[in-house]
Amino acid sequence: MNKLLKRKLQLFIICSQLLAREGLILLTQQDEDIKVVGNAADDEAGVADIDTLQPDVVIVADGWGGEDCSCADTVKKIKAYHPHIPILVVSPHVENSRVQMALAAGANGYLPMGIDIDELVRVLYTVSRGELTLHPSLLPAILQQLEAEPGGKSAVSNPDDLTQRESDILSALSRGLTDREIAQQLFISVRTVQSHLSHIYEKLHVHSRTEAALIAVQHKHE
Amino acid sequence: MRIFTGIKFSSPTLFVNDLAGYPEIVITTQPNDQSTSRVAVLGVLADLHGEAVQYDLKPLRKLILAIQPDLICAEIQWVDWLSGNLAAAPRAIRETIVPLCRRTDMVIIPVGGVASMEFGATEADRFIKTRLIRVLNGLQRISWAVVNQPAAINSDAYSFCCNLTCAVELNLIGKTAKKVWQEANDTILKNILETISRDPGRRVLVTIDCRRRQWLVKQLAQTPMLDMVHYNEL
Repeated sequence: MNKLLKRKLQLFIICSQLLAREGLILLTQQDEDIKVVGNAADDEAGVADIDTLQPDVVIVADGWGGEDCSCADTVKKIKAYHPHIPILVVSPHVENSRVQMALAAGANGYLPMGIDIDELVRVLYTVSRGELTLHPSLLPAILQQLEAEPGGKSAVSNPDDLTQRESDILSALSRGLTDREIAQQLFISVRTVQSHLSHIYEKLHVHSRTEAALIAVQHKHE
Repeated sequence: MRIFTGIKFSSPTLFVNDLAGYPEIVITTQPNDQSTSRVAVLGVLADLHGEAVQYDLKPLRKLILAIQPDLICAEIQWVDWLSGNLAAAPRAIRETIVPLCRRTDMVIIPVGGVASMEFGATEADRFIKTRLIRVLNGLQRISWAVVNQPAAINSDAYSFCCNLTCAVELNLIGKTAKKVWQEANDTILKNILETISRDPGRRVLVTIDCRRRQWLVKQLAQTPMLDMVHYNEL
């Protein structure tokens, strides 16, 4: 049994704006399995509290501090002290550079501000399990940017070698869906999706879902 | 090995004692990597002929979390699932199972058939029939207020009472209702078997209106492609 299910998911929220922070606390605590154990207005206060409280997930809400304000620094500071604690960034800024900076800093998920509360809660659980979660609207752009980077091409593998089911899964993967979302969409178990993924990696000679998704995106453009 | 209502169970199991009200919960510790699916049927209280019944859903929630199957076949119609409108699904599924699945790795498979049996008074045109149906509904409502634990709902004694009431009501209402009820049962069975064929070797929990449970258990137990177990041993 997942250890997180034995008790409430403990959440810590960092957000510079009081109203937005209070709003996030109220909304996330509507879920009976989530408990906001602490909150802070900035990373300095946040890091100290996180050290004491040891939450399961930290939300870093970005975007009210103007264009110069970046959540990447906050993520980096928290990860420096607590590398094992998953961090979810919620931000109105969905530019590739911002998302990439946050991910490079160690964020485990990135969501645009326009999501609804159900989606936020679902992603919190996914991130708490250590899965990397990007909003589906962000992933294609990120993959295209990766593809455009020097050395980003890895066209030695061909998705045509895959079975129909594996192609369906790869296509869903390139749209940024998590294992669970793919499973629900295809009405199969998560373990079956994971089993298909390992076959896909083997056939495409890749080691991660990002690489596999990159090949899917490349293939779509050819 | 344990025997429940004539069905044999044998599996590596683990006793879990930390669930209030479920001292004898037994769940498997090993994933089922064989090609035979393990299937259990869990009866849940359905809405009483269109009337939502209030009962405590926490025991059911605890039980599902303890079992954590790979797939949950739920009595939801395909069209309702695709449109996201679950108003017609039983409250236990709508308010407990679907939200739980959304936040865990359990995957919902909508297996519902045609619309559930509606015990309206359209066919029960005679005064006495209407009265009888009202009395039976009242009895069921009272029983549901008392029997709201999954273990009790799935007990043989309660299933017998439930099936008897259901059969009497079906007879009172008429042939059409009987036919609709049986068609729904057949569709549910067909959808479950399709699910098992699509993804063999998984732990499948079928959550179903308790009035369909016995019939479904009997049918599934006769199917060679699956290993039928009690929900406590899934």
